[in-house]
Amino acid sequence: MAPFLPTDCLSQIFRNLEKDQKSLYSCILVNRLWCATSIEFLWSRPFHFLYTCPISCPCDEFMRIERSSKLIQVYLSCLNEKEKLLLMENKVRLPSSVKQKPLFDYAGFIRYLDLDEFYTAVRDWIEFAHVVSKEDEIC
Amino acid sequence: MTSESSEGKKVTLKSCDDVEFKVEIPVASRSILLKNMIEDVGETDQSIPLPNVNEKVLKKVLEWCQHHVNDPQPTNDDDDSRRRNTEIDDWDQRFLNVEQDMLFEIILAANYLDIKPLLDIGCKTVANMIKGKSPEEIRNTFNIVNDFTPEEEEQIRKENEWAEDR
Repeated sequence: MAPFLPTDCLSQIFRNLEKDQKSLYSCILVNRLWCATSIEFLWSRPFHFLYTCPISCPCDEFMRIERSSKLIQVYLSCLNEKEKLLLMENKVRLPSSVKQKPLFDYAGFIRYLDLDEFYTAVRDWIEFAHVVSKEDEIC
Repeated sequence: MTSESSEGKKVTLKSCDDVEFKVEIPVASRSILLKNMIEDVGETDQSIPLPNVNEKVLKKVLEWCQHHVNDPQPTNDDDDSRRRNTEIDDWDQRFLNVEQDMLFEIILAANYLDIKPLLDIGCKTVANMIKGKSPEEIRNTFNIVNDFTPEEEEQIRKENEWAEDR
């Protein structure tokens, strides 16, 4: 067994992969320590990952909309009750999935935010919500 | 006291398994920990004990320090530029072409001794070993046990579904 690497060394390893979504996604599923250490890098530029697929990526537009929607839903679940209430008072319908508390405070990990990409993701989320509203998932 | 020129001045390092290495000060000073120690203590005949590094690893680390003795000392401002540069030069690549245990020991020693460029290339080498692998392949490569409960793993997959490779 290789010697144990402390979290600051692991962090430095993962920082080298900060633009590699596929590898980071693998890292978060290795074990608890790897997950806790690599998760901030996967979530440092999530919108950028969504809208800059490599040419080889097989995702189509609907898949992208679904991914964006899932991402926004996790962010919504990071909001506290007061913030969720504020959205609901402003007639934003929240899906029931946002009630579950997430494992991490994902919103705190963001380091790069392109407002155009963010706007597109919100638009995708709204569009996706229309599709699933027929399936009665909206509370 | 010694009458040698400053380049010839040496310091004695002692590994955790009690092996002493006489090293030229500029070589030892690649380690910021040792550089500060030498500056604080001044000239001394006493050896500096390194309780976290064994002979085999210290020898290897000193080989790197010797090869890079004339490199400019990194500053904190260099962090980003070093990170952006994903290339590892040929000599360093050959130097790090070692058993995985040794690679991890070098990373640990570079971290302890505060030798940033060596830590950096060690971490890059491990990152390159991770690239493109599935979680199971990573566990096999580094002999890591999956300690997630099925529920935890399920929740992580769910919250990160947007990033899943399909």
